[in-house]
Amino acid sequence: MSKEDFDRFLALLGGFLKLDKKQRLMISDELRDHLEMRVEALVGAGVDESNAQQQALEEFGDAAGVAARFAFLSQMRTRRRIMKIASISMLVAIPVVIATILFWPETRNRGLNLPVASAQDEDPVVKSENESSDAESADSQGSNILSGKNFRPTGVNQQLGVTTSNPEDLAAEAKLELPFSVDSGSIFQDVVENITQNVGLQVILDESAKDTITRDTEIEENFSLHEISLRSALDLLLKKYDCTFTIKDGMLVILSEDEAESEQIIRVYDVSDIVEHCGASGLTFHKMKAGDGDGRFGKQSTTTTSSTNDKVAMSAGGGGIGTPREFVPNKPETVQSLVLAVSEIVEPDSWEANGGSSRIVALGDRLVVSAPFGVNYKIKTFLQDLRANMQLK
Amino acid sequence: MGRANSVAKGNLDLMVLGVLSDKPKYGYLIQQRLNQVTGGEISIAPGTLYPLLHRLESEKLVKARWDDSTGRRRKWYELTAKGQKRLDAQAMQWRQMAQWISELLGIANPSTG
Repeated sequence: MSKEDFDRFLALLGGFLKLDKKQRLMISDELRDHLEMRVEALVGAGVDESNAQQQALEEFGDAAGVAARFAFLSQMRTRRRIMKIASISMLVAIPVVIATILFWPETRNRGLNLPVASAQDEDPVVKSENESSDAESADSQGSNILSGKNFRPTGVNQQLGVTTSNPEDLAAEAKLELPFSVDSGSIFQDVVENITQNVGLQVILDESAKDTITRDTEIEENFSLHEISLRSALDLLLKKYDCTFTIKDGMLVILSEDEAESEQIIRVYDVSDIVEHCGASGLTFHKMKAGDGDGRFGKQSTTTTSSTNDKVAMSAGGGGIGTPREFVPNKPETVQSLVLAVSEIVEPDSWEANGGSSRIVALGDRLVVSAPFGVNYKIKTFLQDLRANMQLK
Repeated sequence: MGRANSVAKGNLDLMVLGVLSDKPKYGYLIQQRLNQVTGGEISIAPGTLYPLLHRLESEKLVKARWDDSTGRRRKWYELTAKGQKRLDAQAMQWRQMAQWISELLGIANPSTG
């Protein structure tokens, strides 16, 4: 047994250690010191050197066993380090997650009872109803409508494949409620100037409307309107020329009725209050049996009439014409029944199921609609009437 | 280890910390001190002692420094404040335990002789 035996033992031990070189050398130095001290002590006690070395190594135990203890220690150290890093990461991650949840648009809007737009908060251009301008406040009915140039309801937009609306449209749309007059004997240019100057809306005459309307078109002698809403005035006036209007990029666009069909606008209607009211009051929607009126909603005792003269069938506690099919008004079903009600009541022929181009889907307690401006307006009115009937704000 | 192995096994940390309580020592001295105190009844094998010392070091109960002044690289260990606290706490528990066991066995309190 010689010093070389120590070296071989320590080299063997080092091989088992699977530690970095520096650590291996430090352990080797420490153990070598011990072995040499032990040999010196044994030799001092009268043991010959060879036997002393042999004994020193035997006392140490086998290299693999010693290495295993060091390796276990190293593993524990690594594990402790990982746990420490994981704990720190969790401490950092938890506040981030909480902050994300708290400030996530949907959460925030739900807390404030605002309409939801997934991308609304990403773009300061998009305004919520609460931030609307004075002109918008003319829309006193509180339509709970969201619309925006950069409002991209991810998935919904792609799914419907239509253009999204412009936030400026809200302000322009509100102006449609302002009082307006049309004098008989004037020309169309007078009407346009009146709208521009007195209402503050820029008017565009679309190419599609120019077949029937020009700026020199004379208004009929007996056609006179006084202090009615601009919207109603335009409806009445443009109908005579097979035209209608839409709001685009904050401007009033006059276009043919055919062209208007292709001008799809996406809007999200917050119906959470209606859904909640139905759940709380036990209101149920009834659908007539086949043969009791085309399968549409029937008239009920508490029917609310909208400007379209369409009627929605809602009543407290059941009843109604024919044999109603009742269903428990839980949230998804209530929203679905609202979808059905809208598609049955508001411009039925405009919906895709009936050969039209408009589409409506339920998204949580929101209705997502892709439809021409006029249809969207009627939906808004319909929901307003519904709220009025339910005595909701 | 000798006959007291079973008793010593769960108390090696305490014993090593106790050995280091008076002054710094290197591995071989620690082993010799344990041997000396127990009359050779308790002896920790180097293969057990050094990993234990490294663990105590990683737990910051002892701290180590290298010394080359003797011409031989040697690692010295000394108790840290944390190690001293641990030693005090464990020593108290040990004394309490020893007292209970002594009373249960009907022998004199070791602290009173």
